[in-house]
Amino acid sequence: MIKTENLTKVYSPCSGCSVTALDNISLEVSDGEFLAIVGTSGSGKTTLMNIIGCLDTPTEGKYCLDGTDISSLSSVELSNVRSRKISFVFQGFNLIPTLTAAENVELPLIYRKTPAHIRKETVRLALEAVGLEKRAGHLPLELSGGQQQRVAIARAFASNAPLILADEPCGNLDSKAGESIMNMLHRMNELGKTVILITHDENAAKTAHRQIRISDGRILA
Amino acid sequence: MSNSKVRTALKSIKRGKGRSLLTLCGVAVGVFAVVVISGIGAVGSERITSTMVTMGINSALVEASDQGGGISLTKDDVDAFGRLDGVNKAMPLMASLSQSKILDECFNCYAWGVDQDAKDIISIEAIHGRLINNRDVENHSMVCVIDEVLASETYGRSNIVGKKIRLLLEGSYYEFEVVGIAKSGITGLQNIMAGIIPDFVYVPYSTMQDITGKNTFDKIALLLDGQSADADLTNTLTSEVNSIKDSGNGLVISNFQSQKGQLTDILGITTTALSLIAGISLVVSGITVMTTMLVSVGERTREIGIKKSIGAKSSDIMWEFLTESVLLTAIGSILGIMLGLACCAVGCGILSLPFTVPIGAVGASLAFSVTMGAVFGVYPAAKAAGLNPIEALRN
Repeated sequence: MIKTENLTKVYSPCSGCSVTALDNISLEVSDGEFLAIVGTSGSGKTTLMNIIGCLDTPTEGKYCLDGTDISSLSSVELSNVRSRKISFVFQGFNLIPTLTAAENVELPLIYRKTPAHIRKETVRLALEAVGLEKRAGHLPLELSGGQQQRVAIARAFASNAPLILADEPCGNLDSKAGESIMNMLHRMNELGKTVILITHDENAAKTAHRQIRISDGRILA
Repeated sequence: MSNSKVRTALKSIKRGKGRSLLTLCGVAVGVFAVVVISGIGAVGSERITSTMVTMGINSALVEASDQGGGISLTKDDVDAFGRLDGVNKAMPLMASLSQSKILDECFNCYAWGVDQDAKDIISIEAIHGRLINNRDVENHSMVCVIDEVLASETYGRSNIVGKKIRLLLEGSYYEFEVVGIAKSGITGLQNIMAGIIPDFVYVPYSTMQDITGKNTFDKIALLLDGQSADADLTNTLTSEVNSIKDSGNGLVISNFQSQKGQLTDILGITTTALSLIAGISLVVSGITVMTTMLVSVGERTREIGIKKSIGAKSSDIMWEFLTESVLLTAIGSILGIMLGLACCAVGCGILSLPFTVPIGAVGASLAFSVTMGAVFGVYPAAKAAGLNPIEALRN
C-alpha cells in the first residue's frame, strides 16, 4: 500500500541554515498491516507521518500510495487523497470544539459530498462502534479525554479510509483509556484497515505487527 | 451554498456573539440610513405626483426663457394672451422668495402676486375666509392668503383669518391682513421637508408691484381650453405669444407637468446624493466585516488545519468563510431594512401620508451590502484557504 524511496525532508527556517528532518527513508507497508513507528521526540516520526498522510510533501525522494506517486500531486489532489484514503487520530484529539460529537464524525463525509441520509446512518453506526451513541449531541468539552479520542476514532471509522494514521493517540490519556483506544485501533485493523501508529510508548508499539525505529530522521536497522 | 455550509457559518457567527452583533449593527445602521433616506424621497415624490395631477392640469405658465432675460410682461400682455385661441383666462403672476414674520417668529416663504383668477388657474382653494378678489387688486389692498401649513406652524390652528402678518419684500417688512387660508396642495411634502420647501403666501399682484416698484410681471399664468400636456397646443401658443411680444424664442410656455418633472428631479437627485453618502457607511461596514472575518480566521486556524487534515479542500474552506461574511451582511441588511421600513411607516403614519416602500433602494442596499460582504470576505477567506495544514494544526 505504501512505498517510500529515499524520502528526505529538509526545513530551512532561516537563510543559510537547514534542518534535515528525514534522511533517505525507504519504507514499505502492506495492505492491512499494523505498523508502529517508534522514536523519541524530535526524531522525525511526525514529519514522516505528515508526508505519509499527504499533509506535507518531501524535499527529495518518492512516495507512492496505492501505486500513485504522491510527491508530484497538487494541493487539491492531495486533499482528495486525504479525503478518500487517510484518516488521522491525533494526540490532541483535534475535534472541532463548536461541533457536537456527531457533527465532528460527519465532517469528513460532508467534504466527500456523501448524501445526507447515508451520512446520518454512518455517523450513528460509527458512534455506536465506539460506544458513544448516547453522547452524539455533546460538544467535545462536555466529554472526557478518552471519550474525545473515541469520537476521533469514530470519525476515522465513518470516513472508511483504508489507511489510519494515529499520532500518539494515547499520549494524553490515562492507561485505561489508552488501552481502550488501542483496542479500537486493533479492531479497525482486524476490519481490514492499514494502521500506522506513531508512538514513543514501547508497550503500545509491541502490540503492532511490526515496529520500526526512527532516530535523527533515519530508520535504525 | 449548501445547507451544511450555512449551518457551519451560522454556528461561527453565534460563537463570536458580541463581535458578530457589533458587525451586524454596523451593516444594519448603514442599510437603515439608505432605506430611510430613500423612503423619504419616495414619499416626497409620490406626494408631488399626486398633488401635481390634481392641480393645474389645464394651466400653463408663460415666462422668459434663459435667452429672453430682458423681456418684461405687462398687463396688456395679460389681456392679449387671454384673448388667444385655446386660452380661457390669463393672470399675472409674480414670485418673490421672502420671509414672513408672525408672532415675532420668522419663516421662509414664497410670496406670490396673483389676482382673482388664482382659484381657477393655479388651483388654490380657501378652507377659511376667502381668496384674493378683484377689489383687493383694484385697491392695492394690504391683504394676503396664507397656506394652512404656515397658519398651523404659527398659531397651532389653521383658521387665523383676521390676524396680521409681516412680509419681507424688497428689504422691508410690510404688514398684511390675513383674509383667507389656502388648502395647501403639498402639505405632506412641506411637513417632511420643513424648512426646505418654503410656505406659500398669496397677495394681490398690484400690491406687490407697488412694493417692488415694478409694473411688469415675472410670469403670466394661463388657463387653457385643452390640457397643458398637449404639445401642439403649447407649441402654437408659444409662437403666438412670441409674435405678440416680437421676442423670437424669448418666451416659453411650461406646464405643471414639467414643473412636476423638475421638482421630482431635484428630489430624486437630492435623495440619490444623500443615499450615496449613506452608502459610504455600507463600505465602512464592509471593512468591519473584513476585520471580523480576519479575527475569526486567526481564532480558527487550528480548526482549519483539522478540516484540511480530514479532507477539506482549500475551496471548501474558502466557501465556508465567504458564506459567513455574506450571511453576516445579509442578516445585518435585513435588520436594517426592517428597521428603516418600520421607521418610514411610523413617520408616514404620524404625518398621515401614504406609506411607499422604496423597493429599488431596498433591493439595491441589500444587493450592495451582500456584495460588500462577498468582496470584503474574499481576503480573509483566501487567507484561511491558503493556510498550510501542518502549520495550522500546530497553532
